[in-house]
Amino acid sequence: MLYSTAGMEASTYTSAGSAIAVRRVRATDIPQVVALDERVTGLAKPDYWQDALSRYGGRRLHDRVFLVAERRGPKSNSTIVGFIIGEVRAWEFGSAPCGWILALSVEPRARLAGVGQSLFKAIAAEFKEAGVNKMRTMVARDNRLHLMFFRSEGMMAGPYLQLEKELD
Amino acid sequence: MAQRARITIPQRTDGVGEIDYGKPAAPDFGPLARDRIPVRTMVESDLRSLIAIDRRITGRDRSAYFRRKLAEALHESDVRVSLVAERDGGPVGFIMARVDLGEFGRLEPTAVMDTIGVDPDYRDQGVGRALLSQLLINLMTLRVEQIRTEIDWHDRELLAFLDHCGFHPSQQLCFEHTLAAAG
Repeated sequence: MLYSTAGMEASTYTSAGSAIAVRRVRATDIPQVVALDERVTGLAKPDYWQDALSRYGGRRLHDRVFLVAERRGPKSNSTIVGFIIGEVRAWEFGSAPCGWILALSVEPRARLAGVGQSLFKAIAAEFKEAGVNKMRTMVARDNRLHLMFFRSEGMMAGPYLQLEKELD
Repeated sequence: MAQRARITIPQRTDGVGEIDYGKPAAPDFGPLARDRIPVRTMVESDLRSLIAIDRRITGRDRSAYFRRKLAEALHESDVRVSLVAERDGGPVGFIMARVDLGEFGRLEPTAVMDTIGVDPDYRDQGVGRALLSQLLINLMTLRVEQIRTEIDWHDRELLAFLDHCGFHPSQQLCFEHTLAAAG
């Protein structure tokens, strides 16, 4: 498994003939993250991603992870083709320490090339490094893309229920 | 030709079905508990009480967790709404939540309640209801439209409590992966 861990520069792996590196996010990546997210969701949310950078890329880096997958071009230019965000949560909701994946996105044109899998494995390694042995996420039941992806990575139904209440 | 069985609707047996406008309004789960039990914003000096209450509930020393949560509540930029209930001159319960800008693909401002605890000596006295109902009122003033939480489905006591307080399952599914087996 090739990936970058906290504070390290990127390791690389080759997939479908192109070099992809997974590394910690940098402030200069955020415009590309915003653009990628806008292409995927149809909504531009620059403030949201600045906040995510500050929360997951700037503080408590031993248990918060914001990784990007970068495709390196022939002239040392690079493009962000995916990102994943997670956090080790210890005792929230009464659960023993566990890594939670909070966001995952891959550039549509770069899919089916192992980018998501690399991000997934990289964050799994970060969580293991942080000392937890379980990783969880929540997926909307109509989000077939993420459901299929996480199932294909070996994730199984977990023991947690998300409950909600409207405030009106 | 065989005759089809018909469903019989039971007759009402306890008087007329008209609205009684003189009847007191049915209380939601909150007002009575809120009136009886003072609930206030959490402050730094509550830390020792929170740790002690939690130790009595869980049998674990989770000081580091509560130190971190309190620091988040008081110093990090996210909007946190954390409260303490008092009886007999001291904290007997707490609830911790934050207003989230969205995770797991959701974008709407949502409050996430992640910690709640009531001193075992003060259980079944409405402390949890007072805390939760005050939290909901505070969130409504912040124009938050939804609160959510995640619980272990084996935790039936908490599940029953939240069910009674109007929570229902969301459309999100939990997935889990054991890292040790991931290789």
